[in-house]
Amino acid sequence: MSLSQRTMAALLVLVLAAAMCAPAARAQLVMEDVKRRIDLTSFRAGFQTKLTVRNDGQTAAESVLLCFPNGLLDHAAVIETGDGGTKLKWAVALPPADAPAGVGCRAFQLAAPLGPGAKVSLQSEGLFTHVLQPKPAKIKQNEPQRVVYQDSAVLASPYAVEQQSTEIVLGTSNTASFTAVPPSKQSGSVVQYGPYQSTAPFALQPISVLYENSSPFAHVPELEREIEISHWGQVYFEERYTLRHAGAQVVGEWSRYDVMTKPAEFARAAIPGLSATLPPAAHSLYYRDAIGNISSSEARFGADQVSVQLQPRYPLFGGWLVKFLFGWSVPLQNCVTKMPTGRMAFVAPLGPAVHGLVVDQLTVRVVLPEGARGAQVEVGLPLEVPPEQGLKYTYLDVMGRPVVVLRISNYVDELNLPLKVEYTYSSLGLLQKPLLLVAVFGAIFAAAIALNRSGAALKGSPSSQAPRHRAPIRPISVSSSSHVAVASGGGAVQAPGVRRAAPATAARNMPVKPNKYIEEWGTRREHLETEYKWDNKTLITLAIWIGAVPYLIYQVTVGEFNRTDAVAQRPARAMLGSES
Amino acid sequence: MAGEAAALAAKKLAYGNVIAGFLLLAICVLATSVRLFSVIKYESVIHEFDPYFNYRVSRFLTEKGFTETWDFFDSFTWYPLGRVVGGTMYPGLIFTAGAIWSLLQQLNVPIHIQEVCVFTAPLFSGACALSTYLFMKEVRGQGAGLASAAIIAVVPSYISRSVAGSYDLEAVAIFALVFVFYLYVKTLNTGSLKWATALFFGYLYMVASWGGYSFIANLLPIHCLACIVFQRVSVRLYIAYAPWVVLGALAAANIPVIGFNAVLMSEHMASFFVFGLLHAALAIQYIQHMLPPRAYSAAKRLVITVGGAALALVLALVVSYVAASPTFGWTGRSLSLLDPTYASKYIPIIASVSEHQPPTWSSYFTDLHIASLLAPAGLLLCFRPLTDASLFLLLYGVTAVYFSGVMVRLMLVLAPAACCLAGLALSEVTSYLATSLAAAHQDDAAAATASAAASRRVESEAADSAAPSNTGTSKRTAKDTAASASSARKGGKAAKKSSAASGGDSWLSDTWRPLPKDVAIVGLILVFAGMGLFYKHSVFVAGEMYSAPSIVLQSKRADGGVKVFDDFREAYAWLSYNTPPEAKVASWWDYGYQTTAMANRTVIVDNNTWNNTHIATVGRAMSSPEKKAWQIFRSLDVEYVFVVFGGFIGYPSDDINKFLWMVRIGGGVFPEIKEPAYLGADGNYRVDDQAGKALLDSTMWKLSYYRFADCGPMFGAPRGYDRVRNTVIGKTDFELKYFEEVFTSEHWMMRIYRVLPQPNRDTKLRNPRRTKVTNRARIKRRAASGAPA
Repeated sequence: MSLSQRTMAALLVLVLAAAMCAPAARAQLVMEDVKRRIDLTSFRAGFQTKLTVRNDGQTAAESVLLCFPNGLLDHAAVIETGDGGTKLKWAVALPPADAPAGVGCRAFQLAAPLGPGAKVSLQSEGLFTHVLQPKPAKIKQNEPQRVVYQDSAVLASPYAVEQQSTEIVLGTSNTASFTAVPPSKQSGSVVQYGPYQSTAPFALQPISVLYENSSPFAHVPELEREIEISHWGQVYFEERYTLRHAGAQVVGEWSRYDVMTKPAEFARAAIPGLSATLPPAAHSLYYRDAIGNISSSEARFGADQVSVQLQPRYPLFGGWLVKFLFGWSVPLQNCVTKMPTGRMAFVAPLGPAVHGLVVDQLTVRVVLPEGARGAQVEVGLPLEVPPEQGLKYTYLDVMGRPVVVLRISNYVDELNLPLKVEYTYSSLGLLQKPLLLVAVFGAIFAAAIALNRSGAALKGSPSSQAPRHRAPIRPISVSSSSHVAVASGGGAVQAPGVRRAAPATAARNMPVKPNKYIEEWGTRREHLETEYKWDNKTLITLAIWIGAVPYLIYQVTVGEFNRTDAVAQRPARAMLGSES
Repeated sequence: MAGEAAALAAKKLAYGNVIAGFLLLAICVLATSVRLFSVIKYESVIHEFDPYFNYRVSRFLTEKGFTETWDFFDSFTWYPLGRVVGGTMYPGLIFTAGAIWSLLQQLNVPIHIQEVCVFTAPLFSGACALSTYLFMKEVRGQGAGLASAAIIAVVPSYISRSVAGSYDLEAVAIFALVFVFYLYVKTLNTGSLKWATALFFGYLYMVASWGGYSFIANLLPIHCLACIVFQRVSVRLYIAYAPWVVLGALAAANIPVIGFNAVLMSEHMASFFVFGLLHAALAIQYIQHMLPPRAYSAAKRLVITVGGAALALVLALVVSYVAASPTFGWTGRSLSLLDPTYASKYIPIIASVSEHQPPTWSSYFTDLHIASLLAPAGLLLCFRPLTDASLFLLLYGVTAVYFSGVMVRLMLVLAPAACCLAGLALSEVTSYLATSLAAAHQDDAAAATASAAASRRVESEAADSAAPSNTGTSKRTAKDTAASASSARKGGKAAKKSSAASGGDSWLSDTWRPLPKDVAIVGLILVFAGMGLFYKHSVFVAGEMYSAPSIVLQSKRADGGVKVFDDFREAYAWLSYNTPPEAKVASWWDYGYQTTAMANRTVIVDNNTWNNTHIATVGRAMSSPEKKAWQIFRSLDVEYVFVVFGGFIGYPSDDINKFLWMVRIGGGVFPEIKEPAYLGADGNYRVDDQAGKALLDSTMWKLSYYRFADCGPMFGAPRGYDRVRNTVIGKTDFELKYFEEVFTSEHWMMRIYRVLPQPNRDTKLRNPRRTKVTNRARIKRRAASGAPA
């Protein structure tokens, strides 16, 4: 099934669920038993709910509504519900009219309609991101990081619940406070609410837990993942991270000495490093940022995977930010296979190689080889934003390479989505670039040859026929009375007058192409040398050209300068002759 | 017989040309690849300090375009003054890299400008080898050209400024320098206006690339003057020189950083002066040609008296104009070249830069190696025969030697000269030896039949045949073959010269006699051994000494691995991502370019040391006690201050070691900073308990050593032990009142502090809320603490 079909189906289910299923099925269902377990040990909130649903109504129920208070659903990265064997399909549902503000619901379609009186056991699991808020938001370097979690002590259920209990696992016994809803108690690192009997629909009991959580809040506001497929043999992966520690912001003095000597106290929530896993054939790894290579990384090449430890340039403390690039290559045959239909199929994980992150906005670009057609994308999830198509021009591209862009928000490792891109590509396309280069260079050489063969004009220039420099140079001595001319003759320093007459003949025998300007100049010069007379007329001409014209030019220039100075309201500049 | 010989000779010439072409290609490839050690050993990154500015402007060029770059006003530096970058930089390098980048962009090669910048210098080193070949080919011949190219390709002095990543002006400027020389000599030899035009464009590129163009602007006049004095004035000289003066001055004036300096500063006076002189010399020639001898001598007397008077007048005017300027019309940097003591006396900023110090003798050998031995021989060979071109080479060599003696940095100008001279010597020596060898070989073959007249012809043929026979025999390095090919060419030429029985312009050609075979063989072996050593030395130097990018340090670990100290970039990255984008960062000026380029923050001072007062202000803040420094920094809107500190790992070029220059430069403008106060009682600069009191109180001390004392035991040393100065520091435990440590890099090499908006309350003071304080006392205290009320 193609992606667009998938999306359509999802939309259809959504509309159906919103319009019909929810109100009809609601009144009939009853939750017999609900056991909730909320895991707050990391910087994300995980939950695990076991529920037994019974149909007390007259008609069969198609779906079950699961709801979450406090806008939690907006932060859901993944929610999966199963009935012991299969995963249930779901759709976003409008909360019932009597639901309190902030409640969001999802409608899970049961594998088989639940007949009247029948029961079904469901397990629901999920992850919320951005729900643990640091409190206080700013701490000193040695202060513990505390976070607050807000939920309801009872399940936000649109159905009546006969019996339920909630268990919150904190991973620490350092609880600052938690809202008491009897029977509730803390035992060790676990806070327990319940069991509660017979709760009405949406009878919420808001609770908030404030506790110490030293997890590194590794949030990635933006992550760009670019995959470039080259049918010359490699697939290039590059991931551009913006990593932020979203925990309590460290303010005030920050001491390296304390970090070095007492890391347990002064660097407790810092992100010291990240780990990534690459396929076993990965090679040519790089880890850098805008100002160069980041030297603190380590890769172990194993048989079934390559595991990489990446350390940012500096350990990330609360509120700090860092950006970096991480890239590698994989041989083509490890990623791309030719399907029986003749089309190519590229398969890789959709998500980033680095583990343990919360990615707010993940952008995946798949750059297909130039000449690929008919790209179809398949991801194991209906996408909120349909994939976009684009073009990218790199290495000697003429037509550009087709690019498929996928955008996913709130990505976590647990989604673990595969990415499959199918496209049509002819291996003949590989020949395009070599042929292009051959053609271009061939054209250049052909042009050069043609020019050389036909280029009499290039050879006939006077300068190439003039005496070459190898012909030693004839110096012209100041006391010599010979003609000033380019000439050939003896070479080295010579006493003046040693060879005065010899060179002239060589110069005269040369074929010279007459240049009309030079000829004209020669004529004038000859005129000046032989016929020029000093008389009144020539004197006046001379006076005009030597005296009057320069003077006028000078005056006009000075006038212009002064005028522009006046316009720009600058003080007038001192000119030659003007008093300064 | 003669026709066959001519055909054979033509064929050999063609072979020789092809071999020379391949050799040249090999030399260029070698010149480029020997500079890539830094990329292989470290990474593809911009090196050191100044290249970061060039890189940043190049990035600006690629983002904003050509015209925007001319108008680039940089508000990120010299806060609050800013810098008109377009008008104060030499744009040649940046536009070159930008042009290469945009060409690649046109071909859809997705390369980042940084990679282009990194590889510009090696690329142009190859081009420089090529232009050296052309230059020396013009001066003497193909053999000398190849030998010079082979030497300049790996000369350490040039490698030091042109390894990959060393994106400095010199990267293209040395190429441009040699290329301008080539064009000048070519014009001089051909007298062609076509080449004069090329010379103009070459000079334009040179002027746009480097302030060192003033070397050319003075060398060409010197050469022209020498030609006039030695009575070698010719039309070719006129065509080479006169258009260059006029057009060159216009070209220089078009580069904003030079502007009207092209006609106003004393650097350019010589060219105009000689321009006039050249015209005078030509005029005299012309008049002499026109007038009968008697009238000429009368005119000569008249002109000498009138001209002498006029000249005296002009000289007086020029002298009075020049003397009116405090630096005699020279720029400070030029004057410090003419008077080596000038900078240390008046401009501490110029004197504080290590590359502006005079070089030691050993650095001549390290940087030039065999070229420094061969160059004097080359100087002698310039006289054999002395042509206009070899006169030029001679003058270039002599002046470059002088300038290199003043400043280490100008070794770079000497390098091409030394290489050309050495190449000349090498090619002559090799050709002499090879020709002797070939002659001996021929003598063995046709010993009995050779008559005195015939032997000369045989010699010439033998010399011609030297190239193919040599190239075929054994393994060859590029250099080897260069030498042998050169020997063939030169040998042929020398032999021809001897057979031509010319009129005695060469002191050797008449008495040319082959050396004995054994001596020739030993000589050749010695020459090749010398060149082998030179290449070994150069490759070693390129790999070990000059390839460190200086922003990343490496040291060998005990287990043989490499430990990387990447503290500078760690701290710059921290500044870049974790401080407000508009924050101003203060540091010593050395790190200004790096901060703007890598941390992308506004700095107070940077490596373009144009405003001494501003730098002195920062020097004063660093030298002052904390409170005073806080006031200065607050007045400059500084939010972050960082210092470079080596005491933790033993990095010697840190701020404490540079501190005396801060004191000197600060004291030069603000007399309250007195250098003796920062020295120990014995007059030495020291950091132990004998240290000067002002040093212990200075902000630099506090920012460097804050909380450092306890680190001593970490590396098994006493408390407060400084690994650079190898001593326990004089003052260990103190608190900061006006600054706050916000980041220190992993090895403490960079320590960043925040300038507090209000000083920390001194814990020793009593809490003012508990005690009764009258309003007047409160005001008084506020005034004293300097805090804004």
